[in-house]
Amino acid sequence: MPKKTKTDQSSFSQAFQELQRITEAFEQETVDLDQALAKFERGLELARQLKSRLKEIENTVENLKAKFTDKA
Amino acid sequence: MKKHPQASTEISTNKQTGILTVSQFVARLKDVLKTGIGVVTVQGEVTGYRNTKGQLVYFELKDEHSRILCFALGWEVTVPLEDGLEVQVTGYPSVFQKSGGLHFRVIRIQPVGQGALQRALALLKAKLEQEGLFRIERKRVLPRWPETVGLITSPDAAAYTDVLRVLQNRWGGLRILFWPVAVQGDTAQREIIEGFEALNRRADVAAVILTRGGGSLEDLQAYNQESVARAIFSSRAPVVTGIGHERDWTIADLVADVRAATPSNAAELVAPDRRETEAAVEVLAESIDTTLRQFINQTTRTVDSDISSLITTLYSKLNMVRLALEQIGRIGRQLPMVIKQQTDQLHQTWRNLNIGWLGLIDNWRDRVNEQLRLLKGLSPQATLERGYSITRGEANGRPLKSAEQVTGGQAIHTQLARGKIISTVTNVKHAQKN
Repeated sequence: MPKKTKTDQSSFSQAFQELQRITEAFEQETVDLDQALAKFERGLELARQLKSRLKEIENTVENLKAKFTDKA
Repeated sequence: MKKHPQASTEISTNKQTGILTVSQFVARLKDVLKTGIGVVTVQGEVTGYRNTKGQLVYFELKDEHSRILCFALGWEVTVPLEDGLEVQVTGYPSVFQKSGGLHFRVIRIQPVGQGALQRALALLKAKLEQEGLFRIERKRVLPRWPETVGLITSPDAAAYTDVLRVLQNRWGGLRILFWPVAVQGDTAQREIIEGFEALNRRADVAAVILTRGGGSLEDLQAYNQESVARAIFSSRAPVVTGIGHERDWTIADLVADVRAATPSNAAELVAPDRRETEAAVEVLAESIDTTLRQFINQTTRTVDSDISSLITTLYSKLNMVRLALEQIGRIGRQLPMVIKQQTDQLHQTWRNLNIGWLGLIDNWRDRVNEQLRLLKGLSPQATLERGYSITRGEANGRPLKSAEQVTGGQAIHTQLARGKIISTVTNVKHAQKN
């Protein structure tokens, strides 16, 4: 579980940054038509992923000290 | 509490004489003081404060009537001291083994009263500021989308529920690593430090929230401790403090990467807002959509204009070819006439050439015949025909040109135009020499 969360953490940030980069590339018109279509699809996919991640509601609380004491 | 078994056995062995060595006496004194009085807290004013190379700390604690020497090791003193400071010193009475001097062995020092606390705080602040713990350059930026957040506070505090509520409202899927502590009292300081140590062992913590509700300066003591300040300073993840109310400033706030006004505010600073983020994603997606459409339109326009310019170029090339072909056609039509002209001219030249040549040959033939006539006139036969003869000696057959070439009795041959005469020389008459 911790690993998954960590991946999620970096993936949200990474996905958002990738989406930003794609947008910038479009705005600066540095893509050709073939690339543009692929990037367009990728951008929409990223937006879909990000939105689905935003649907996660619950936060979890882990008591580190309790875990620590249990072990000891 | 330290026992001195060696001293007590020696004491017992010398019971008969009742005489002690100095070391035995001092040791016994220490023992008695420590066990008899034990750990106490004494309040008084600091005077004669000395710190030898940061290793040994000496000062006197006094009131109107008495004073007592206090001793501590440098690292044990966590409160900056100065003369005139009112403090509560917790410790036990003891005697220096070497000098036998009575003193108060310090365990902990606590400034007393609002004024003393303020003063201690000011001293600590000045010290840490000079060390660079508050420097703006070392403040770290909070990650925009943390997924794991450390939380150090009391589970009983309102701050705890406030923080969790705000985090929940703003963002989902967050993992909160909670380290419960006492936010005031004797254990608070140590527990907070342990919290940072525990969170430092985790690589996935994106930010740490250190928080508690409002309180008096005494209540906030733990957050004004040097050791807590250093724990915040050494935190692996950036630290957000939300301690007390907006007007409460602690040393912890000064060292933290980000200072929030309240516990709720700390949570707001750490967690992104899901609505804002959703809007940002929306804007990016729309921007891609719009720019792609524009891009396609523009590309279409460019292609159209490229095609039309291509067509224009093609037409102009075609025109050039057409003109060239017309020119060639014109030349083609003129060609037979030109050839006929040239042929005629050639024939004429040929004719002219032939006429000249034949005349030249006739001329040359006449001249050759003339020469032949002349040549014929010069031949010996012709001369013989005219009556001349050639006489040759018998010896060598050569024509005779002088009488001296022959002697009497020799035969000579005379050639005529027709036939030959052979005769014998009878007489020779030499020509007269002149």
